[in-house]
Amino acid sequence: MNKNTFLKSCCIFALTPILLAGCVSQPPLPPPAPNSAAAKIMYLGDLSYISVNDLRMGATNNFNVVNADVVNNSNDYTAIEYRFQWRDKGGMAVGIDENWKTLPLSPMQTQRIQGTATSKYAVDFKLELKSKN
Amino acid sequence: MNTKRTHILGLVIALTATLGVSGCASNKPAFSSGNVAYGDTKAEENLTNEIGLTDFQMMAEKMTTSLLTSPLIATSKQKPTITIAEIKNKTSEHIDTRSIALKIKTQLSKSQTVRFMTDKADDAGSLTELQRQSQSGLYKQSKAAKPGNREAAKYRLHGEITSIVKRAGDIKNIDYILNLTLEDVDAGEDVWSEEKEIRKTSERPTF
Repeated sequence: MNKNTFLKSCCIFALTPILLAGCVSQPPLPPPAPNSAAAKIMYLGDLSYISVNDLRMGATNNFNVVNADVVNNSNDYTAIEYRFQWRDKGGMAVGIDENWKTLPLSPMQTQRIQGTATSKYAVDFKLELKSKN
Repeated sequence: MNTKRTHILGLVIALTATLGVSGCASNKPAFSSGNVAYGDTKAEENLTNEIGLTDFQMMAEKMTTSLLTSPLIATSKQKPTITIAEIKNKTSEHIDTRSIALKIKTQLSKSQTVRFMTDKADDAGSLTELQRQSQSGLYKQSKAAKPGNREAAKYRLHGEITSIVKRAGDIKNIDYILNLTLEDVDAGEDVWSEEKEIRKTSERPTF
């Protein structure tokens, strides 16, 4: 085996696993079931270190109120932004257009956030979470 | 032969030049100087540590949701009638507190749970229109607004905004506190009260 053939073999040997790894990609996760808690949350940006553990909706004075526990699963201080969007039974946006609110989180901290519908016609919601970075 | 080639080459150059120039020439008028952009008014604005639109929005949202979920709204058989009074500015900044009040009014109006009566700030304009309709002789009296028909507001919304400013070296801290109260005008009783605190910290750059 001359030097050139040996180098070629080395290159092919090194590149083959890389190329094969590119082909064997993870299948995309199935979308969350409609009306499930996961379907109510929209993550904007890389928020892999954030999870929402407890999401519940109740009514106060005929206005729907949502509570959610937002968890920082990382060992770093972080801050995210969030807001609620309210929908009527037809899926149309109702109530005020909420502004983004900053939520500072200490390492491993769980913080409860609350959203209140400003329209009696609001029966459904979406919680938007956005990375501040 | 050589002349024919030169002719064809000349035609190609002329055609390319025409296409190139026509591509550059646009009939669209220039609407942008290139250094102006629209932004998201709902995004957090922290250009300076002075009070801004984001603070107004946070204050109005807190006050609106608090009032909507208060027992006052729940126990009222009819939509409560409210008039907006002054929100006193006790900070060292110039703050258009009327703008905060109007934001709260707009959000509460959209909820369709309360009714707003003409407030003191709009009294002059409202009275002028009433006099124009009832006294100018220009309108059918059967359909013109008449004095003495107005419904007085049962509740008065008033409050104040204060600030605490602290400096330590290059760090400046401002705490804003907005406090609003709803007063039953007849009974002279405060039936609802809420406050919103906002802390803004800034650091002066070294260079």
